[in-house]
Amino acid sequence: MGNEESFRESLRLRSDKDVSKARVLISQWAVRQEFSVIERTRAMTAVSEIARNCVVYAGGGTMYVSSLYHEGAPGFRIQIVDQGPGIPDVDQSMKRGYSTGGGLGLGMEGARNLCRAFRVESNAGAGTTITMDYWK
Amino acid sequence: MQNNIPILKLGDFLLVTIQMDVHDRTALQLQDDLTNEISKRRSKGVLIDISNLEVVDSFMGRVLSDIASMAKVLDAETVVVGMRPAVAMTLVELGLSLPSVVTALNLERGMELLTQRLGRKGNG
Amino acid sequence: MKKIMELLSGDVSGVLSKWISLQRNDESSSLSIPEDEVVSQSTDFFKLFVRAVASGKTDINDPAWDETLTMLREVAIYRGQRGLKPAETATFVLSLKEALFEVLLEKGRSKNLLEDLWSVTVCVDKLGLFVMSIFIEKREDVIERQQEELLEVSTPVVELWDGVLALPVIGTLDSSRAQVVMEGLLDAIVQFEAKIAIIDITGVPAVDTQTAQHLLKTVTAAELMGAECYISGVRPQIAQTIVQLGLDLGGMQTKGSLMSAFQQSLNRLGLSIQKIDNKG
Repeated sequence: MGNEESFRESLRLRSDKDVSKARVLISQWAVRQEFSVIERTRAMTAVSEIARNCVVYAGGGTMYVSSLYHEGAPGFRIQIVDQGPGIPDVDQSMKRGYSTGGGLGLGMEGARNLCRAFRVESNAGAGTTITMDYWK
Repeated sequence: MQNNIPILKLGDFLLVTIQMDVHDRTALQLQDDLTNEISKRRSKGVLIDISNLEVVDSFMGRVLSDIASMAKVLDAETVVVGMRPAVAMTLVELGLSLPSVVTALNLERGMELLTQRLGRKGNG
Repeated sequence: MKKIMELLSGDVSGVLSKWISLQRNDESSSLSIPEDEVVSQSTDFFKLFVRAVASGKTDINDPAWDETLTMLREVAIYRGQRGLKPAETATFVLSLKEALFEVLLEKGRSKNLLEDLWSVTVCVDKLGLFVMSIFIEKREDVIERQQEELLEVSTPVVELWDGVLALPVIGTLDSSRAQVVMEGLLDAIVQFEAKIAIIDITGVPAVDTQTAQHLLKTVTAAELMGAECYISGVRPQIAQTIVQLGLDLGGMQTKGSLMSAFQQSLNRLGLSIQKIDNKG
């Protein structure tokens, strides 16, 4: 009774096709956990931003999704890990308009606005891990 | 590889219906195809139906803006129709308001709007 | 447990009538359910209880207890729906303990009396906890549903004219409510194929930074969907706070009253209201 097994999935991110797959995977998680349409859309959009950054700027990486409980509310944790050059100045990268590529520079800050909790761990030269939590 | 997004001719307009999920490359391909098509057919209006699209992120937002701006340079008006409520909310939270893009609630409204805008332009 | 079983099988009807009378005499009981319901519920439950005890399993999570727990669940829900107090529902199970004790004391007189009393206590207490957890669970469901209903009821979207929607917001717009309000309005725009949506804030006591941001978000989202959006009912005090807080409402079209917003909407749709000339 009430003994839900914690569940974990992973996905390799190498190209724009994988960014699509990442969106679909998160959509499935959100549907399974009966998230509202708007919450599902937020999660899919945030993942799309971060997964693309990973492919474009870090040459690829891996996405992990696992279930979580936040004060009793069910949800999931998305982690996107790469071995790329890292983000030299995390604070700077969170500012609106910051961009190292051709984007609108909304990726990181935008994604942060779209999730319940957002964390960046990055060391120059040692890759980046971005964690995004969602719960109902 | 995803198939290219088909561009249909609808009277004087071009109609593009974007399906549920689009790879980045497919979206960029659409940009190419559409500008070519506008130029070839001398189209005055473009309708982009995104009612099936579940996610518009900053990349897709930029593609839509760029298409509208490019079409403008080629003397065509673009109307993006059918944006879902959840997509609109998410775009705003993402910090995007797509100022250069004209929107309408559905295809029918989009047609009305295009006709109206082009009529005004023709008279003026 | 075996021992209890032996005792029970000897005098099933005796324990049952003892239990029913204990329930009846309970002081806390307001007994808002009919007498015959009490008797039939107690009789049905007692049969299942005796059967479960007969299985020799003391753990109520054992499948042998499934039927008993299902019945108990129904009893808890039944009583909860009729507005019985938690104590009254708990008494249903806990008074069984007393009835069983009396039988043990009268007939038992065994060396293991203490042990027997203990096993009865443990078992009935577990059932008591179970019944309380069901009771609380149901209460929480009710509270949650009421909260949701309250949120929905307080933010109706009304159609003022073909293609013109109004959302009269009454009360403070905190984050969770703003979310519901915004989603409701955007969905209604699709549903009614609205060209114009008016958010009337006459009933909003104060506008702070957060409320203003929520309004701005809704307006921008509605525009992205292809609808125009006006904010009406901006009272002088609110206009002052907005300016004093330095809030940027640049993207919004504001109107003093719902009436002027409606007039503006009709204008946009190429419509006007005329006085009927009766003299003609």
